[in-house]
This record gives sequence, structure tokens and C-alpha cells, in this order.
Amino acid sequence: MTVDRRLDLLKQQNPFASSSVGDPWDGHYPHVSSINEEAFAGLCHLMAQKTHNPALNCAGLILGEVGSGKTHLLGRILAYSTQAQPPFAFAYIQPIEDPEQTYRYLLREVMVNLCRPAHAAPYATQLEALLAAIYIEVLLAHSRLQGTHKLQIIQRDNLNVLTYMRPPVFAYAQAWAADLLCRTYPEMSARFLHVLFQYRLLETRAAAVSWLKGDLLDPADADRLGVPERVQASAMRLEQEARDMLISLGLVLARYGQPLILCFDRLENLETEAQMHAFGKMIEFLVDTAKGMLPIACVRGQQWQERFRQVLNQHVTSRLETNRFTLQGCTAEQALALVRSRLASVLDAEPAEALFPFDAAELQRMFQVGFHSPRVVIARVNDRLRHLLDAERATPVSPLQTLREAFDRQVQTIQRDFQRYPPDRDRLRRALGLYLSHSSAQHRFRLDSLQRPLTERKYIDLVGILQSGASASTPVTLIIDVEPHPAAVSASLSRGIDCLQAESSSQVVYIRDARCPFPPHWKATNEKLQRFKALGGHVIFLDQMQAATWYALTLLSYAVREGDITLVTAEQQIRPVSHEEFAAFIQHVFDGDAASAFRDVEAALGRLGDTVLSTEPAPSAAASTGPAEPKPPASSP
Amino acid sequence: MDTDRLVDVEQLVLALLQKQGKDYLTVKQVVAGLPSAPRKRLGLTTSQPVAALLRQLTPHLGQRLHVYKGSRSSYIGRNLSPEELIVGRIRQRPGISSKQLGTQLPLMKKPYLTALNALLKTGAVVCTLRDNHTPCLMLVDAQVPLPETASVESVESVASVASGDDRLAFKAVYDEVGQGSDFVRIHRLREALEWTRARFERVLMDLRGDYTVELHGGDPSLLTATDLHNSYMDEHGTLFITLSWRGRSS
Repeated sequence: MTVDRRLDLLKQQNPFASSSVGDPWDGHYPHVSSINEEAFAGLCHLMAQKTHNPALNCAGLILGEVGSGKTHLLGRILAYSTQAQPPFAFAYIQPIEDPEQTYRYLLREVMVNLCRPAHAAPYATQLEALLAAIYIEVLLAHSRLQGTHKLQIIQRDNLNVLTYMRPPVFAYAQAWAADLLCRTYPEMSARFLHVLFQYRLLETRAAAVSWLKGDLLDPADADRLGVPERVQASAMRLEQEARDMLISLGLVLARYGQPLILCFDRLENLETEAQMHAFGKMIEFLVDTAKGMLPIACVRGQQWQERFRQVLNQHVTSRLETNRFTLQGCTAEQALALVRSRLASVLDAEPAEALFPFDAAELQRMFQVGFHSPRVVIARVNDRLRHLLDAERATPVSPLQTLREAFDRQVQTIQRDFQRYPPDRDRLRRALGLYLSHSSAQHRFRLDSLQRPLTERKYIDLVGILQSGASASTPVTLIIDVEPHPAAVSASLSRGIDCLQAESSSQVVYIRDARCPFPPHWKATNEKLQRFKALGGHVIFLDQMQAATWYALTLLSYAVREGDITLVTAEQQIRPVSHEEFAAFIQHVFDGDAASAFRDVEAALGRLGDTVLSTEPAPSAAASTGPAEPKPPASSP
Repeated sequence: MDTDRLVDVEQLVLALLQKQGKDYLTVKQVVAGLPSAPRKRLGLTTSQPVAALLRQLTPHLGQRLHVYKGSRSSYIGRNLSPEELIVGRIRQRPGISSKQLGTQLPLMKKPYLTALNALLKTGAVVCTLRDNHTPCLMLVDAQVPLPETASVESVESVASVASGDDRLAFKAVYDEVGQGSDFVRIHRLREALEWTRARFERVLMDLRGDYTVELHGGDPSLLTATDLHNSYMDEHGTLFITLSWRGRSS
């Protein structure tokens, strides 16, 4: 390949453009084995111990500052999960938003991960592999010699056993498996197994996944699965059910030697003590109660020392710190290996030219003094590459552009695989809060801060007071709903109607991810929706583009808070984007933009004319009852 | 015309070396650093192979410049002897290990070691062994420690290596302040040690240079203005807030 061609390739696919992994499932850069080798080996060893002894009460803690490679290390563990003998399951857990739904959140995150397309054949998802393991055990125990031999050949050839089983065999296998597992483990939920088995059928798969995630099911789906509806269940009952399902799942994972590693990342986004305690509760449960699950927490070193250790119960910190891995920066040799590996992802160069177009001695000098975090290495080399390619000093990229590029990438990632980002009320609420908190000045409405209500939090997400010139203040209620059950939807709409009837000038906005059904046969619910509209309520169904944008905004906010979005300044200094710059980005990107994903919200609130939305007088107990969120990032620590 | 070009290139390269404070640069660095007009006039681009660049540049380098062949690359620099190159680099980095020095000079291994041994024999350069047996080089005239009163703020201007006592004192305070933590705030160490800024940063740079400590960015939002002032900013303007001890105390 000619020099010009190689330079062209580097221009088109600059391998140093991104120094942030974002989500390990999306990671596509190669791993350099020598970087953080000790931590990786330690985690693999821990996982091997857990596989050998699923009841082992242990957890892991990865400490590393911004850019030290925490998320990349998780990507490496994910890659290893399919190569390990035996393989193990992997779940990447984003920070919890609502501490009142701790177990439901954990269950949902686990199931979303287990249902993601698997990286290795023959099973489409990790959950399918688990299901196959259950069937194989009972079939081996009950089959005649010929059947056993056939099964062994299927396994030897790494084929999907589920595709070779006829319906009658499935029926027998399910009965045998349910009997075996419930007899062996008294705490095993028979209903959990009953629904898990229906995951293999295409016609019930979607409903089974919804139920396994803890969702409220549409009555028809509940009927199809043969499970009772959850709509009447209290929050406490639903939490208990989620906990029981996690216990059952853990027993299955443990029995079949496929333990699950749960990686809790971006924990800097746990803003309130309630959220941190919810995290602690999850760790305690996973270590002490659930079998076959190994929690790993990734935290910035200083944050761990100064925030988490001060808030979390010692019971939790001691469990995490027992297996602590501190990440280390790159030596010069490791930095050069990192550069080589990134270049190799684009150029197929001979070993002698593996550092093309850089000068090896120059790179050596650049990183010869002290350790450098992988992110610093990538950022400095990126700057050098841009300099080489443009022959002039590379123009520094503005914070706005940096955020815009990261945001666009996130939107594209979500749109490419929309199913991986299921309707999520908490994340929609955060996105809405961020938008409303920062779309100031240029608008017909302004919002100093928002808060969650003290009562009816199950249905109402945010409240505020809209002030219109000299006239009286107008209460505003924002309801976000992703429930698939008509009774739950109806309950949300009823709260909206109550607000509108209590005060005629009140403004209520009902927002729903359009993927959540609202079919015409929900007669009573549709009538309620019409009544809501007739009373002046605003209804917004987020289409795919809008929803993707909302979720992308929330995930970007996590990344910014973690210090994951960095830029190189004019002085060649690498620094993370600040919260103030993120706020300015939101204002710039969404304010007054008619085509934006928030146009319907803007239209609903802006319809009131030249108004100012201000905070409702904050009840004194607000801080102690939960997150007064969303907090404007500008005021966050 | 040819004479003009010769003088032109030689002076431009010398000016570039002067500006960058270096005695030598790689050939590609020299080409990249030349103004675009002479670069175009000579038909030079950084994408050309080094050998081709040297063929075009060498006739224009004059008496004051020299082409060096290093183990990894070719360099253009001031016309200096190997001994002068070694002394110049040790002056910039007192305490540098003999191995590190070898990788940083535009010399092949054999002439480098021959010249270094000659300097050691004459006593112009002395070699001491660190606790980890790393041989460190210093110039005789740089061995006298600077008095505390010479509170030069710039680390560059403090041409001395941290003494073993300072390193031990640093480690003791790290242990005391950190109480077992892997991430200890730099400002707390600075405040506990009560050294001059120059002395503290000299020791810090020395510990960082041989991978004894690792510096981290940390979270500035958790710090006061005074804390930030007492943290550490490197020559690239990067702020470091915490550090981790990686090596053995020495």
C-alpha cells in the first residue's frame, strides 16, 4: 500500500479520534494485553473461582481515574467471557436512577444484557445459552443411548440444541426441568421457570422477555404466558417479586456453570445518598444472597475514597475492597503498543512500519517520563496525527463540537439497535429534566429548577409552576409513562385528569415512548385519553428519532459526569468537558430548534405565551425523601 | 542562488533547534518545523521516506549542522561530539539512567557507550546507583544540592536530583496522609511536607520519572481554590490532583 493511500485511510478512519469506550458492548478497538494486565488477570481469576464455587461470597472493585481504562477493561472481560472455559455471562449495568425500584432496576438491566445478541455461536443470546443448558441436562438424564449420542454430537459440533428439539421433546424436557429444579432448590420460583421456557418460542418470546424484566404486561400477553397480571401489585410486592426472580436466575446460572459478572460502571452519576444506598443494597444482595453472580464496581479512585466510603455501609465497602484492583497508567512501551494496535485496526502494515506515520523515537520521548493514562496517550497521539495529516497545527476542537460529535455517535448507536434501549421512564425523565433546566432565556418559558413531587411519584414525574406575567401562577405537571398495561396507563391519565380538574388553569403534559402500545381495543383507556385531551391536557408520543435523542442525552450526561468526554485545548492540554459546557451544549442544540426532539414539549409549554416557569416552593422534606432531580448539572459537584 | 539556499536552510534549522530548546531533532521533525515556503522550494514533505529527505537536505546543512544516525531514527542537529551530546542531555535531565540516556541520544549503542565511559573515566560525569540498582548519571558540577533559599519556581531550573532522604520523607508522608489509600491528594502531601514548591516538585518529578509514583487527574470539583493551587500542574498544563505510590520506597 502506498504512503498516500495509508495516509488517506488514516484521514478517513482516524483510529485515535475516540478515547472513550462508552459501552463495552459497542467497543471495537483492539485490546493491548500488557495494559492493566494485573487487574485483568485478577478479575479472570476471581471469575474462575466463582465458576468453580458459585456460592462464593465475593465482589470486585476497579479503581481508576478518568481515562484509566475502566470501561475498556470491562470490554476486555466481555470479550473473554465467550473464550473462557467454561464461558460466563456478562452484564453491563448503568447507574440507577430511581432508588425506590432497586430490585426491579437490577432485574431489568440483567435481563436486557442477557437478551442482547451474543458475541459467539451457536446461541443468539446469553439467555438462550442458559436455556439450552437446562434442556441438555434433563435430556441427557432421560434420553436413551441413541438420543444421548445425538445430543453429544450436537454439542461437539457447537450447534444450537434448541433448533434440533421437536415440540413433544420440549414439553417433556420442560416438565422434567421444572420438577428437578424446584425439587432441588426450594427457593426456586416455578413461575420464573415457566416463563423462561417460553423464551424459546418466537410467538411468546417478546412477552416472556417483558415479564422477565419485571414489566407490567398487556392482559393478552399475560394470558398467553399464563401468568397473573401485575397491575394491582404494590411497589413492595413488585420489588419482592424482582428479588425472587433474581434469586431463581442465580440458582440456574450457578447450577449450569455459567455465572454472571455484573459490571456497575459510571457510578459518579449516583448523585444522591439514596441512589448510593440503592447501589450498596444491590451489592449486598448479589454477594450475600444471589448465587452465581459476581458484582464488579468501577469507581474513580478519589471518588471512592471521599464519597462512597463515607456513605456506604462498611458491610458493602469491605466486600468490594476485598478484591480491589487499581488501574495503572501506561509506560512508554505500553503507550507505543497502544498506538500500534490502534494503527493496526486501520492499516495492515508490516511490523517494521507498525508505527507509520509516526516516528518511533519521537513517540518514545513523548511518553518516556512517568505513567500516562491510555486516554492521554490516545489524545496526544491524535493531536500529533492531525498535525501530520494536515501539515499545520491541528485546530483545537471546541467543547460544543466535541459534545455534538459524541451526541451524534450516541444517537446513531441507539438507532442502529433500538431494541437494546427499551422504554425507560427514569432515563426519559432525566433527559426531560436536562432539557427543561437548560433551555433558558431564548424561550417563551424558563425553568430555574425542577423537582419530583412528594406524592403520587408512581405516576407523576416532574412538577413546576408556570408564571405568566401579572396573571396567577399556573401549576405544571409532567407525566412520563412507558407501562404496557391499560390499567397502569389509565391510572397515569387519571392523575393528569385530577390535576386538570383541581385547577382549571393547570397544565399537564403526558409523554409516552411510542413503542409502548396504546391499541384501540383499550376502550376505557382511550376514552380516558380523550377526556384528558378535552380538559386541555397535552399528549406527546415520542417517535423513534425523538426517543433515541432523549435516551442519547441521558447517556451523554452520564459520560460527561464521569469525565469521559475529553478534548484537547489550544494549549495542547487534555481536559474533560465541564458541566457548564454540557449545559451550553443542550441550550445550543435544542433551544428554538423546531426540528428538535423536544419540539412537542416546547410547543406544549410554549403555547402558554410569554411565560416564565419557576420552581414550586420546595417542601422541606424533599431532600430526605429522594432525589430532588433532575439537578442542573451546572450546580452538581 | 545555491549559496543563498544553503545559508537559508542551515539558519532555518538552527533557528528551529533554538526555538525548541533541543540540540537535535528527527529528520521528519525538522521537515515539519520548516516554514512552508522553503519546504515547498526543496520539494520536502513529511510523507517522504527519511532517506529521500536526507538526500535532499544534506547538501544544504552547512558546517554547523550534522546528520546523526541513532538506533531508531536519523536526526539533524548541531555539530557536536558524542561527549558534548551526553553532557548536554545530563545537564537537562540530571539523574537520568544510563539506559534511558542511551535511548534519548542520536547515537548508536557502541559510540554512545564509548563516549560515556570516557566521560566517566575523566570524572566529568559521575554514576551513582539507586536502591533498585539503576545507574544514574550526573555532572560533577550539578551534584551540590541547591540551598533552600534558592526557591526557584520552575522545576526546569532546579538542576538537581532528589536525595534519598527526600524520597523517604515523601513516602512516609504519603503513608501517613493516605492511610492505606491508593489515591492520595497531592495538596495534602505538599501541605504536610512544608517544603518549598521547587523542592516538592523536584522530588515529585523525580519519583514520577522513574515510575515510583503515578499522578492522576482526579475530580477538581471536590477541591477548594487553595487545594487546587497546592496540587500539581505539569509542563503541558495538565492538572494532577492525586497520586499513587507504585514503586518501593527509596
